[in-house]
Parts: sequence; C-alpha cells; structure tokens
Amino acid sequence: MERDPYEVLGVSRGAADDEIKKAYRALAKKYHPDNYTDANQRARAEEKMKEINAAYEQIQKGDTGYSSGGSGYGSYEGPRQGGVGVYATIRQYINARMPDQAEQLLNGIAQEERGAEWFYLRACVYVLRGWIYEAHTSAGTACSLDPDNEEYRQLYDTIEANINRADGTYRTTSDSSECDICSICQTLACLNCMCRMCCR
Amino acid sequence: MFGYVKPFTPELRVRENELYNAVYCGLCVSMGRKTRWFSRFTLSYDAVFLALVLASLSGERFVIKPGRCAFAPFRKKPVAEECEILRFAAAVSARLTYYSVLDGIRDEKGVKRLIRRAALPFCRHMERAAEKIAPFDGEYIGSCLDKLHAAEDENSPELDLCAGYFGDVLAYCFGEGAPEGKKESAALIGGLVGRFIYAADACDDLEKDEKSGSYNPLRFGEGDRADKLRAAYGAMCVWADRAAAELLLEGSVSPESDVADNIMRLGMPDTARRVSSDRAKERTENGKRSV
Repeated sequence: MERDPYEVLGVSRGAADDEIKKAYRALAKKYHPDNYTDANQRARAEEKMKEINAAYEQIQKGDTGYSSGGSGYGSYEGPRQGGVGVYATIRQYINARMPDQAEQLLNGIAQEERGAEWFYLRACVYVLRGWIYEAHTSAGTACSLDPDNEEYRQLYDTIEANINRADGTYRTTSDSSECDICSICQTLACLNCMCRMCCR
Repeated sequence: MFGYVKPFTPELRVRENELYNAVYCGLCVSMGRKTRWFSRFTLSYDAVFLALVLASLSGERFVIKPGRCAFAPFRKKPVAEECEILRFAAAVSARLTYYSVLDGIRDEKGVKRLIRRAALPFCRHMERAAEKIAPFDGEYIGSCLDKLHAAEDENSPELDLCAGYFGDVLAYCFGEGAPEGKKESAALIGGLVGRFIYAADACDDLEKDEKSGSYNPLRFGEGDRADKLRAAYGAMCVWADRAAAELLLEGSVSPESDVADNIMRLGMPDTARRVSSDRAKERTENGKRSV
C-alpha cells in the first residue's frame, strides 16, 4: 500500500534535505537485513528496507503527490473539471479535497435526479475520506448506470486494483489451484519479463 | 469479542504457535486473577491480539513457563507469565464484555436477552475490578457506542460509518495501553482492526439478519448482495493490510510481532474470505466434498 514517503522516513513534509538524509541513514542502519539472523525477521527487515528506499527515492525525485487520508488510492487523480451546474461546483470541491462541502451539495440533489454522475461523485467523496466499502459500491452503481463512461470505469478499476493489491499479495496457499483472471495476468506479466531477458 | 482476529495457523511456525497459545493461556490466567474468575469464560482472540500488538510496539517479550490450568489439569502447558500488558489486555476485555452485554440487553429478544440479564451482575463485578487496572474513560466508549446505535436505528446503509464508530472504541483502548510515542500507531491499528471486526460480523450475520429482519448495513443501500459482499471483502482486506503495514513501519522485530503480522496479513484476509463468500454455494461445495 502506498504511504506518505515523509511518514515512512519519520520526517515532516517541509523537512530539509539534510534532515531527510539523516533520517534515511538512521533507518537504513537499523533495518539492514544483515543485522538479523532469523530468516523471518530478515525477510521483514528486507521488506521494510524496500519501503524506506522507495520513500527516499520518491522524495529525491520530488514525486510525492500521493493522496492523503489513509485511503491509499495513490494513482487516482480525482474527477476531471467540467460538468454542468451544481455538478461542476461539486467537482471543484472534490478537487480541492473538501469532501464535506461536496457531500452537502450532493445530498441537496433530489432522489429522482440522481444519475450515474451523482453516484460517481459520491464515490469520489468517499475515496477522499478513505471509505473503501462505500466508494466501491457507489462507483459500481455509477458503472452499471452508465457502462460506457471511461471516467467512472477508471475510478472503479482503481478501487479494485487497491483491493487486489491488499488481498493478492498475501494470498494463502489454499487458493493456488484456482485459475482466475489475476493468475492469468500474473503469468502473462512473468512471460513478458522473460521475453525481455533475451529479445533486447 | 467475535473470534474474527485469529492467526492463520498453517503459516505459523511451531514456536510461534506455542507463543500464541502461551499468551492465550497467560491472558486467561491473568483474567482469573485480576478481573474475577468468571471473566475467564469471556476470553477472546481479540484480547490476545491486543496483548501481542502492545508487546510488539513496546518491545517487551513475554516470559513463558510451563504451568497447569484448571481447564487442563493433567498436563503442563506453556503459559506466559503475568505482566503489565496481560493485565491491561484482561482489563480491556472485561470492560468491553460489560459493554457488549449491555448492548445485547438492548438489542436481543427472548431467551438471549434473559441470559444477558442474568450475566449482567457478574459483568458489572468484572468491570469494577478492571477499572482499577485500566482506568480509562468509559464515557468516551459509551459515546462512540451511542453514535453507533443512532446510526443503526436510522438503518444507515453506510458500513464505513458504523464500522468507524466501532473502530474508535478499539482505537481508544489500543492507544491507552501503548507506551508513549507509540500511542498513535497503536490507535491506528486498533481502529482498523475494530472496523474489520464490525464488517466481518456484518457479513457473517447477513443471512441471519435477512431472515429475522434485524439491522445490518449490508441489507440497505443500492447494489446487489454479491457486489456488497465483494466491496465489504475489499474493505476488510485493505484495512488488514494497512494495519499490518503500520506495525511493520513501527519496526519492532520480535516473535510477538511475527505472530501479530501473521494475524493481520494472513489470518484476517482468511476470515474476510470466509465471511464474505456466498454461503449457499459454500454449503453445497462442502456437501459435495463430504459425499
């Protein structure tokens, strides 16, 4: 799950380069896998090191535009500007990360006027709050009301990708015999990597 | 409380399993000593998880010694010695049991309600004893549960909202027990696990609540049943993963944290799969297997 890189290193968002470097070195020293003899602890230390390295790299690159609020929808950028009337204002609120104001306007829209866009924008509000269940069901409703809309589909897929990431990483052995769409994708990805080894 | 926060034993090492069982037994003994003997019957996996998380965060290790127990008198078993963490976990368990019994009296009907009424004086004793060990503010827990009841009375379709109130209760308890500087992480883990427990319970009881007409957030709102179960499953996995990441980031590397890690990374997703799978289908599959 994507986390705020500053949080990973334990420094504030406005920290100076020196401070970040110092925090990174201290953590790297502490969690160097060579410090641990036990295989399990070593694996955990390695995982932690990976996270620290990724966070440090991300800060160095200046690529820290993650979405906050503990929701972990790192790659989702929010709705596009546009829409008509009240929906345009709601979109602005959502892009300004003001879920309460957006929700207030959404609730003001009459029940019978609530279409796919309404459900989509409500899903965006829930994403901002980190409410995964509600975001998933609202985005699902938006997609079923308007299956051809790319914007709605994109949000739904992002939520699904987050769930699969949380769930797929630690899939237990009992499921390994199942041939689902994920395992097909994984196989294709592996084959693709192997192709790159020889066909440069 | 409900037994949803369990380790995934096939992936536990033998010594980790021994540690888990020792903490389980140790907690039971501590409960008997500190929060009256009858509180031992209310021992839950959740309180064991609390003890493991607090031990992981504080870096303390449980001291394990062979001991006997009234429930298994003939064979010595490894038991974690009483310590501050176990006393705190015992006290939290007793206090939350008291609140859940009060809840039951409010919600249940018939025989179940009578049983809870009969248990209430015992629970009140437990609560009083526990208050001396974990003297945190009962009013805050009460206010969270009141908000939860208000949302339930309104037939709120928002699982995240209800689960969030329940999460607040555990977040508060976890935060109170953690050492200085780790309170925030403990509260975050507690909050996520609390949400998980509420959502798992809602999924698990869905079929029963549909028949009896009782409140369940999954019964309300738009979307069909399978979609909602899938969404709830996804939310549970994300919460468990986030909680595991938080403990990992706190950087404690000990056998206690390995077990807590197993619970969050494997045990909880396993529970999520179990409670959110289509019951009817699962039953027929099991039937086929037994034939």
